Amino acid sequence: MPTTTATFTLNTSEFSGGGTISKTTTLRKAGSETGIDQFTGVSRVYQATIAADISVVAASAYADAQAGKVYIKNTTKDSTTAYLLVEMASDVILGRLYPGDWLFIPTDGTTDIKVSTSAANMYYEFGVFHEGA
Amino acid sequence: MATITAGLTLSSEDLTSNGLVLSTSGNLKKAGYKRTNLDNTTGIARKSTTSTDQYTIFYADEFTADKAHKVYLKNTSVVASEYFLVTLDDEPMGRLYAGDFAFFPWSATDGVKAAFTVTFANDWAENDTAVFDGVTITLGGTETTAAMVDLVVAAKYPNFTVVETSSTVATFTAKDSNDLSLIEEGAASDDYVVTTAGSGTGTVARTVAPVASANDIKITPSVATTMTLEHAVLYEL
Repeated sequence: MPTTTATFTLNTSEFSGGGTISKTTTLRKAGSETGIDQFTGVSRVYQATIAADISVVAASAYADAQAGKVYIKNTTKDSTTAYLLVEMASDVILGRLYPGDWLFIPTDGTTDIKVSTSAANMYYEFGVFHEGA
Repeated sequence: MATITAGLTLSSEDLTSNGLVLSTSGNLKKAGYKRTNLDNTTGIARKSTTSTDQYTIFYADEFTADKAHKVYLKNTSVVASEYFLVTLDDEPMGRLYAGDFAFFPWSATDGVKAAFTVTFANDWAENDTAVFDGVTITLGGTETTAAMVDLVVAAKYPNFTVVETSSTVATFTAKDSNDLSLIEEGAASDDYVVTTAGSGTGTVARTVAPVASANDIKITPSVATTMTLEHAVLYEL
């Protein structure tokens, strides 16, 4: 079985008592020691016009109760304000990914994940690690 | 201005035939044109759970809406089958299994906090009372309506803030948009209870109906035995 690791680092050393944390986890199937073995690859998207509700995760494509992971990054370079609005299910807003911002979240295959672009000429990328349908 | 850097590295030698190496890192910045650095953090904290009840980790009301906040969550369990179901209010995001972490933006969209006014009138006598939210105001002597408003505003209510709107009116606002209880209106409210030996009246009028926040971040543990979530919010005002 494949071994895929995700490492998160957060450096807050300029805060009193802050420092750097580094957390590494192996992406495994739900409730098991078996590594996740399916991946959509990283899709890179250029969105020329403002668009709403672009599907990143269609829950219907995956079995429920999974231990999937979603990665999304706003890779737009020539703007500081063009954000990706990340939503779950029917317009439940998660948050805004400004240029350079990224997310890494679990998905259990029950909730659609969508993005909307706030401006024209935006770039973003995304990928889903999953257990299949 | 403090600098906070967050990075993610995804790697695998055998998930795909050509391997996977994806690394990204950047400073966390505020929303808006200037994109100055995020400068507030809750610090990294831990929450232990001992039931399969749903726990609210972060209340949207406590953060400014539509900013560039970031949330970090990690399940510190080492038992492979143990997970936290992460939900945005009641909308499932996904399961954080043992060792898993999440890092994501959060809009912290507020709900609407209930508000109502109490209009005081006429004369207030010694030992008259006004009871609300577990707080009892007892008059030590005859008071005017303006003095009554002053006393109400000076009181500390556990679940409401109160301000003077005029010399006869005090406005109460719920501290939590998830408090959906409606205060009974009128001069004989069962929720805002005025007892007077004189002619004093306190008339309640609802001004804002509450709407619960749909953006609180909640977790539901998979087991009732002790599990621990590590969490933090990096945020702006």
